[in-house]
Amino acid sequence: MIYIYDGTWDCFLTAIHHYYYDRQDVADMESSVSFCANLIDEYREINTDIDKAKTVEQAILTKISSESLDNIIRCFFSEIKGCEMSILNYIKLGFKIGSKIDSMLGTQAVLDVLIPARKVKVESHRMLGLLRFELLENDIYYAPIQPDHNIITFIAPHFKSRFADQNWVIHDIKRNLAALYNKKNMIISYMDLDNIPDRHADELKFQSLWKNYFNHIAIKSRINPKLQKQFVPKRYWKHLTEKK
Amino acid sequence: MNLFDKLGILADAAKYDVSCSSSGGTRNNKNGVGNSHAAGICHTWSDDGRCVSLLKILLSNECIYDCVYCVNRASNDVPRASFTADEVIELTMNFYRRNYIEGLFLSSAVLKNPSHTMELMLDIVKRLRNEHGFYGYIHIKAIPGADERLINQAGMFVDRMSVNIELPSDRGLEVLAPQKPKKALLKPMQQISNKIIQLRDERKIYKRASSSGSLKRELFVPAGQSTQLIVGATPDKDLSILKLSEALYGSFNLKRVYYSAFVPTLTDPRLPALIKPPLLREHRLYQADWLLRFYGFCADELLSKANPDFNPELDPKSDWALRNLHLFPVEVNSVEYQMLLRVPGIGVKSAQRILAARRAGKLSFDNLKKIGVVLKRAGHFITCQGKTYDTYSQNESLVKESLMSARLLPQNKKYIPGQMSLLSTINESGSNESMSDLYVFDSPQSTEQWLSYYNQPQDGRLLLSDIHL
Repeated sequence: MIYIYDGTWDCFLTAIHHYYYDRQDVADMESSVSFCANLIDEYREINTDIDKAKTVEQAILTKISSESLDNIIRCFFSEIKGCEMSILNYIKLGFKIGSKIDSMLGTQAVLDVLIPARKVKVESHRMLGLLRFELLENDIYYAPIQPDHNIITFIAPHFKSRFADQNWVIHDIKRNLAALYNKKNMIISYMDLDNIPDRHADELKFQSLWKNYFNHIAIKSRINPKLQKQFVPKRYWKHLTEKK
Repeated sequence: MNLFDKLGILADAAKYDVSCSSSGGTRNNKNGVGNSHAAGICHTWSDDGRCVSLLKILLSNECIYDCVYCVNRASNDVPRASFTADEVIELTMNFYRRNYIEGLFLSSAVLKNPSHTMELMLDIVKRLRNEHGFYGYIHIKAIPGADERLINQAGMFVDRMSVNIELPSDRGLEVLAPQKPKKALLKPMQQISNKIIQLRDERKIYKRASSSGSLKRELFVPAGQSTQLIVGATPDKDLSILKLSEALYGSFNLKRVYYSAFVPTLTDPRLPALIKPPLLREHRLYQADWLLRFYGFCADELLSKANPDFNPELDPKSDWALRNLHLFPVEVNSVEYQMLLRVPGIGVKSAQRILAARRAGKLSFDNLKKIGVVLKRAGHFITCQGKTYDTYSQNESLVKESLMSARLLPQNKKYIPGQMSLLSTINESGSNESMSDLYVFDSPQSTEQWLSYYNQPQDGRLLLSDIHL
């Protein structure tokens, strides 16, 4: 049996609930976004049930630990292929042995969740620095990003407290996902942001000042592009004002 | 002169100061813009691979001093410029709001006299905090010789203050910076350190006195002070540099000592004729500095009078382990944390993971590999449940050869000069909101709809209909 869920966290938890209560033999779980049916396998489409999802979340919290739940959430949002089954295996083990699982760093089933979770953590932290806002003419700061993992929920709260007196949008253009903040509230939603308004009249001035600063700050006799690329991999350059 | 050219000149003049860290701040955003991130955030890496966290500029490079090693010395023929306070503020605020930087690092050449310079800098940080509601990170230089009261006042507004010693010995200062005796440099450091300690103690008393905690907490240089030493401009040995750092960490409670490979920007008979900056030496000093601060080593263990310089072929920890082979091998499953830290190939992170994993069960070499231990190096110094690793040998020269073939040079070593954000635990920005509360699944269909989100009345209410006008 292969479970098909709609790609959201709540629906995924619902699927886990079904796995436990319907006692089905689940060979795989796939998001309907990327899934491709074949003739041989059996499928079951899962519909989100918030209560079931909350039950599973609560069970992980009480039977394993809050640290585990954090790691599971991060692993899920890594969107690495196969992470759903890694999480299921991890939860199965966790329900058996409890919070001790957090220190079982030598076990493959644990590492299969911890390593993707760590990748998400590292990329989230990196993006706190590498994200760049542009001021638009209607006084909204706009930042396009294309991260490897689906990290917008992890980074948005940081910008909410830091840029509390600014209107801003963080737009994951790879996933059509955006965090919007209007000096009061923040929402995160799937959306196609087309027709982004024009830049503010001052925007290019500050971009060129920043580029100028960036070029001057490097010490010529220490130039080391390899080291630079190690910290800022080329795939992030596209939206980096100073590297564009 | 326009702002563009000024920025170029004054960034050029500031870049030989290597400090860039933005960690350790505790400031929260109070109805303004900006806050501190405990672990610090790097915003970009310049073409030389150094992290850029702060807008690092000089207020002015028109210096009255003539220090031989310095690119801004009075007798050097370079373009001169000075920012106005408004210009510094405009740059800081606009760069910060675009998330280019974590804050401002303001230093200056000595303009007219030390107190005058300090006054100008104080004015800028005061206005950033009071007039512009800026809660981002600010690091400023205390100008040696400036009035004590000015330095104390500035400390109330900034997150970090530093005084650069630059030259690691009296003799070096005498020859290369005759206007700056070491005493004058150490005085403000002592003063900052005393004030930090004094306020910390007072806070303890107040805490006990007022249970409500309503007393306004006075911040003074909350992220601590740091300094910089130039490596290679004087004949000082690594041992004396490291001893100085050790003393600074001990007696002045410094947060960081930075090492800057001397970049020969000038020729002078009093300066060494270097072709390239001594980057490997600088790298070794950073490695040793980390050993002092996080691994429980002391300077005398790493270097000695007979052996006053670091081995260019081996990192200081491997070098120490090779000289102390009689202490090894240690059993990973039982050895205490302090000794675990001393094993080459095991860092703070992996030592902590080993400690955690040990509680769950005995570890094998395979487990260690998964934890992140570099067995190519650690394998020579440990046993796992009594067994030795494949490459284990007691022959010193064989071990040395193997360590050197596994050695990591600065180019491909995963170390972060100046910033350790990825090494230290990443503090998540605390959020009380649960994720599903933030998500809106009925997505706006057009540009007008999402833009209208920004035009709604600011009464704190947010309904889905607000973005579906």
